[in-house]
Amino acid sequence: MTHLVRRLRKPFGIGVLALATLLFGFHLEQGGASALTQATPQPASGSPYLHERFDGWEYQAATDGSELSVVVNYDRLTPGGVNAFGESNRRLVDQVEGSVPVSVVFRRPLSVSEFEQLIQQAGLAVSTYTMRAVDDKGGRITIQGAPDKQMLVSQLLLKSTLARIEERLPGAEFKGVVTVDATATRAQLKRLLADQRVFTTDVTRAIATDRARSGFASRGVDVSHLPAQSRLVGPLYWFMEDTGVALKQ
Amino acid sequence: MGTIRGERTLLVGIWVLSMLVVSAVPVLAWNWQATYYPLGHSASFNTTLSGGQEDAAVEYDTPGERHAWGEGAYLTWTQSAINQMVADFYCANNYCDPKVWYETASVLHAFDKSADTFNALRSYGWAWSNLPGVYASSHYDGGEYRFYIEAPTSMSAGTSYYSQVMYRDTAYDGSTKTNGRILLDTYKAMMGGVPPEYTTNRDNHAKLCINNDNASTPNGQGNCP
Repeated sequence: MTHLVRRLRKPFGIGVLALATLLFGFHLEQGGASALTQATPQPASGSPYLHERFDGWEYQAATDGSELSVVVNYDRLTPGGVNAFGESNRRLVDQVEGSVPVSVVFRRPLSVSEFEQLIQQAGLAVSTYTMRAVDDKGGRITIQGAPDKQMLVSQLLLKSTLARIEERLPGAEFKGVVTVDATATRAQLKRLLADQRVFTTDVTRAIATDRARSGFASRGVDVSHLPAQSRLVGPLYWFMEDTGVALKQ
Repeated sequence: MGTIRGERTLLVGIWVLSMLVVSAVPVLAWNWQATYYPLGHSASFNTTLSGGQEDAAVEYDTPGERHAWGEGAYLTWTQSAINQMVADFYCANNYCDPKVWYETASVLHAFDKSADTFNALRSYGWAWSNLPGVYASSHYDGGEYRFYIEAPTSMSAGTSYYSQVMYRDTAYDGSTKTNGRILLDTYKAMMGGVPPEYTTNRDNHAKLCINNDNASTPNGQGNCP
């Protein structure tokens, strides 16, 4: 990565130095500190709310009348919990209908070329992806990226990002792509799951959102027309690393 | 002799030309152009950061693109703030009824230069952080970017943390340049209740200005040029 930084620096060194000299400065203004506040709100009573538990995961859903919000949770602190979540997702693929949002989580970081090849073969529509780098003390760095102008991974943007990481955390090492967020059909998911590099295809957000819509409908709350926002608590690859489920490199 | 003098003239001409070119085109600046230090606190709370700085820069690293980078750098938290973060997160990892917990996030906004409204500076997915178990969450079509800390037990009071976001000037056509401000904040949000993600605390730390090809600190009145 240092090599990448040098290549970026050289042609523009003079101009960069001149600009930095002119513009760099410390601003000493500081806002007034206020009294310490305690966050103690409670869930609003009477609001439409759902909470369902399954084997290896659970979800909570609520609506304020303008959107449907879904939060998915799992046991991320033990290898058994992480593996159970992965297995549950493998089984849930059979419930997928149409094209659904999915997080494809790898067993180890894939090189950019390996990642590009896998996505091309799978034909996934990618929205974002997560990459891993490690600093010289072993600290983990999470890098978020997205396709740009028909390019799955823009080398220019990746180099620019890595240069900034290198500036702050000298000696950091880029490992590769660990997770990709995309939309996929059941057939695409099954093909991905046959690949040994894929730990699981997380479809819980899609499944939970469907269940929440029908669950609210059965209670007389129509949320069929509302946009849905969903999220998983705890990035799965991080906790695969923590629990030793991710493959060592 | 005549040949050497000719080469010298040519070299001097090339040097002068290159200097003119360097001064005429926007610089591909990968380094930071402005720093806000020390960070302030508009509404401190029990898991907000204790120190650090904000940096910003305008960058032309991709042909035809104009980018504005913003970062929280050398961010630190006290041990008591970390302990509170761990306590806040307890119900995310354990059985609770109701199942409600709190998460702390390092947040960056790109706003207009004189109002807290979003403009053409939008994140489109490129960002990084070394915060533990970070969950990157983009809001308002990329105008707001939150780095939630979802592994608070891995936080360390002796570590410097970073959160960086690249904003794209979506209105840039080669000449039109969107200016504005990049803000650094810390948020706390209640999760799992109604609504499932509800911001309870906002602590504004710093703002830097984005002006054409440069980033700068606000003037004495806190305004951007």
